[in-house]
Amino acid sequence: MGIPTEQLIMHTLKISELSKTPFGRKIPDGKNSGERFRKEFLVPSLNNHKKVIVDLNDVIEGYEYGSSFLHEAFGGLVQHDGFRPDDLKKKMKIEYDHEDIVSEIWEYIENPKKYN
Amino acid sequence: MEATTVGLILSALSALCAITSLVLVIIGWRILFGDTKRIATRNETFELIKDFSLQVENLKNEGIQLWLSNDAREIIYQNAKISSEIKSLRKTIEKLSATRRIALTSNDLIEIRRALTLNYKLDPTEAEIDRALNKIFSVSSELKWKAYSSFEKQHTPTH
Repeated sequence: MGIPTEQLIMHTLKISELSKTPFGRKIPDGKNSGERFRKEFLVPSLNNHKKVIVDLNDVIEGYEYGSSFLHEAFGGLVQHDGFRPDDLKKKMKIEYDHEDIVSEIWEYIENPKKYN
Repeated sequence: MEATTVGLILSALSALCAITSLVLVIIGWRILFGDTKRIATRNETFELIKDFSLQVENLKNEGIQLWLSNDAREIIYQNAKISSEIKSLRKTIEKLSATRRIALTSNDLIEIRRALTLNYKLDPTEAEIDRALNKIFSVSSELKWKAYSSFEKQHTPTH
């Protein structure tokens, strides 16, 4: 029995698959960095599924995302992995309770170089 | 004119005067009450704005300490403090916006979070520290100013 078709089409990626306390930009900054999340989780998910929901809610109580993590994880998709912002808008949905984080992520996707 | 008619007119005038006085008292009381309530709301809101500014100031200081620190453990501690301060600021913004008509949204956190945490790394260069500190100072001032401006617009003083 193969993988159900809807799983191939739609995939939910939970941040807790990386860590409940993601932190830092590059892999040398720590194992829960934005670069690792992008390379090991986000890019494979986007390459293997038609639509990806990135659920950022599953973090520890009181946790707040840092900008470097967000820039590297999501802006890096455009800057380093060749994704285009328009394609990501169609393919990826970010779910998080705080709208400011979602807005910030899309700013990094739209114009990653501005924030280097 | 008969004495009875004069008496009736005088009674009617007296009743009218009494009613008018009562109405004037009620109107005056309502104006006074409305103004008192408005002043109290304004004062309370101003206290909340002062708290908000203090929170932004604390956040600014935590950010400065983060950028000036070169001890790995202290960096973890500073990041945790910044995280907690941002969370607290988010709640204050939600409260000011929902209950005091202050024109702030959670999107106002983006710039200050970015100034504090974007591109932070262990052992930043002097130039990077300089750039970061300038950004932290300017963004925190702008955020405080935005809150004060909205307060002035929404809660005008009584003349």
